[in-house]
Amino acid sequence: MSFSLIETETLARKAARGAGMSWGLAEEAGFAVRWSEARGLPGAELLAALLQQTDGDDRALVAPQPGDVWRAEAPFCPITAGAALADRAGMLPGQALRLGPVRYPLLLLPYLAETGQAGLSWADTDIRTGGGVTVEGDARKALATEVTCGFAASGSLPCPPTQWRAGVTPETLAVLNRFAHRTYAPDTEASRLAGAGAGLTDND
Amino acid sequence: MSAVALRPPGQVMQLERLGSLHQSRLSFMRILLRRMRAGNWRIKRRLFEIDKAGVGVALYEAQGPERSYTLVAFAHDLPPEKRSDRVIAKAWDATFTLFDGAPEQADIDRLAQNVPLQEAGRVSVSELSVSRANRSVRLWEHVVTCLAQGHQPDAEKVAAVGYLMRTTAVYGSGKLGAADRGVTEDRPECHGPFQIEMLSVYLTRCFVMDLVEHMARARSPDTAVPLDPGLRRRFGIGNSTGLGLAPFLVNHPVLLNNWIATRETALARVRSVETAAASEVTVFRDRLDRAIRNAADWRSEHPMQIERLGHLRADLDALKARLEGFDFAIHPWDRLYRWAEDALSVEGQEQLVSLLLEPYGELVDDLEGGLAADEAAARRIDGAMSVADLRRLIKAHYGWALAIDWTQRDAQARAWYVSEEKLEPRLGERFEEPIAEYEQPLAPGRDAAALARDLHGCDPSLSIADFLTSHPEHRHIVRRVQLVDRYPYAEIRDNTIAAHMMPIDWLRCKLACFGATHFDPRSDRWVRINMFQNAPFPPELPDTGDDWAYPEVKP
Repeated sequence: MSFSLIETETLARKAARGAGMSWGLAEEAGFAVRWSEARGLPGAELLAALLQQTDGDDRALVAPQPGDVWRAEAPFCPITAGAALADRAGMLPGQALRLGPVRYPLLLLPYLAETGQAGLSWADTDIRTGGGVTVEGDARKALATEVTCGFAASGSLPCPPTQWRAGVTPETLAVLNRFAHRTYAPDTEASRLAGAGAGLTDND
Repeated sequence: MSAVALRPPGQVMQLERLGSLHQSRLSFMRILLRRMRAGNWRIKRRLFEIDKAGVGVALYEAQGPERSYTLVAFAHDLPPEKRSDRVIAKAWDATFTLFDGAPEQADIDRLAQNVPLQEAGRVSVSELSVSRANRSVRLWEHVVTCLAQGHQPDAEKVAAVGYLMRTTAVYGSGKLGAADRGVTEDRPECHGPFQIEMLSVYLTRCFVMDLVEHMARARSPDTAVPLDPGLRRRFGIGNSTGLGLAPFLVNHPVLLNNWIATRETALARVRSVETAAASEVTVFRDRLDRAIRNAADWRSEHPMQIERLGHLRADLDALKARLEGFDFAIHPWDRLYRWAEDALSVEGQEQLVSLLLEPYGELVDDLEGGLAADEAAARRIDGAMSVADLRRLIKAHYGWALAIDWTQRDAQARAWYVSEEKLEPRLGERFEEPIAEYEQPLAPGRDAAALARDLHGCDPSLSIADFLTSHPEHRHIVRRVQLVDRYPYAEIRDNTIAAHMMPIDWLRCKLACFGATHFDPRSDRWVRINMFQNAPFPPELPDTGDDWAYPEVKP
């Protein structure tokens, strides 16, 4: 089924919140999914997989050490790590930054692109931005031991959206809806009337 | 020219004042009709296949200089017991979509399978909005009966309701599968906020007026008459809105900033005028008289609104009296505004602000270009900022929140949440209902105060990036605090979860920016309004000025 980008972003944000992210991080998840889907990358599918794998985990990012290598015992969440990278866009050393291990490293790409970085790579995979996104290798990688982020890029290369629709499969949709559902309060008769403020005649 | 400063956000962004806004030159409905008139838009009824029972489909095409848009209207025969304005309704008297261009038969067939279902259906990138409307039972039958019998409906009854159908939701910007705003935002006619939705409502009004005359003819072909053109214009399209609209203002901070900053800039420009020309004074006096008529026609059964209307009517009389012998030679509008700040209620002050813009289209209409916003471009967090600097920003922009004792139950008596059923935004009682764990991030004041508490013990030179690593729960509010420093009118500077907060203030703010009139609260969280009342119909557009939003004064 074809979805608008804003629908996909909104669903991703709710799902991330439902899976336990703070609202601010859930907004980051929505951003990453929208950015990816607008460029033909499987952002919604990877977020769904990520949330399933890490459901219930403590998402606190292991504090990044100053310098150009970020290490953690448990794998980094690409949303948490990506947002942390973007926050530090002006503070990082001017050379490539390495971090790992990272789950679904493709989801780091939106944050790198947003802050003007040229791409990322791991093992046998190389992803470049600039004009469009080029992928050589396995963009759906579930866990990369070490990812190199392109902080060596000179200046920012525009990477405009290429499409207005997100191709979300029924399986991905079901997973994201299941997480999003956790953010909805169960109905009571009282909330149905008082909560929305109606309860008087509206057929006049 | 000595420039008058903008009113400070601390004054403007209070809920009481936001909930007292009135339509103005910069309202989206007026912007739409100015553009359609200037661009010589043609509106044609392409199809009207509605049977005697009022069931069928109609097409209304709006042809602009470069592109066309078509309202696809489905008319239904709705049993009365199914008629409800609530989002939990499953059927309506009429359902609509705005199609991008001219639909083929295959498009209409596809839309007929989906649009009548509203939230339970899906539309595509070819559709720009989805909406529905219900008849006003009080007025519809009266008008059909009168017209069928060959005479005009009672003008008093028309005035008491003001519309034949009210919309209960107008979805745009990618909802239900429709095109994202990005698809159309570079088109001049779509760039301004809600221009697509306003066009859809304007065409809906054309359809509803045609439908009521059609139903009268169907009932009595030999005796039926059409509506008198003068009376016809007195029908707008109603809207009935609950909390679904409310979170928008908090969720679109840059847009809110641009709407309010635009209005405030326009006000400051007019207050800076040194001498008013006679023609400008004439326009102001004319609109004031018509605003007095508007206030007289404005009905509400809600005690709070009745009281406020009493103030408004007295305010407008006081304003008219103040103009007797008023010297328009030296900064007249600034003097008048400053007088009003002491002499009038907030409702009256904001009516004056709208009136002051009326004579000055050439001075303020160009500001409409600044109403649109790109929220995504403002989302980045500056992680290099120090804890000390962020604390300074909180003090500067959220001092009002730091002054609230958040340990008091009344201070956070409410919580905004989304219901499982139809995903409807609701407001609940935090300490009486099991909703706190589902709370939506719609309490920036409370969150800013919590952030300030956690920043308190931190090393002032610590970067915000490092602070957020150990405090991801503050990420949402840190983003807002940094944003408000760049967009000073982006935040409601009031407690959005207080025990006595009135959600209708949020609704009125947004709806006034649209250009709505006759706000009629049904409760503290539900409001009815009128849209495009007195607006010219398409054939009248070329010969009608931008003064239609104020009713003609009775002779």
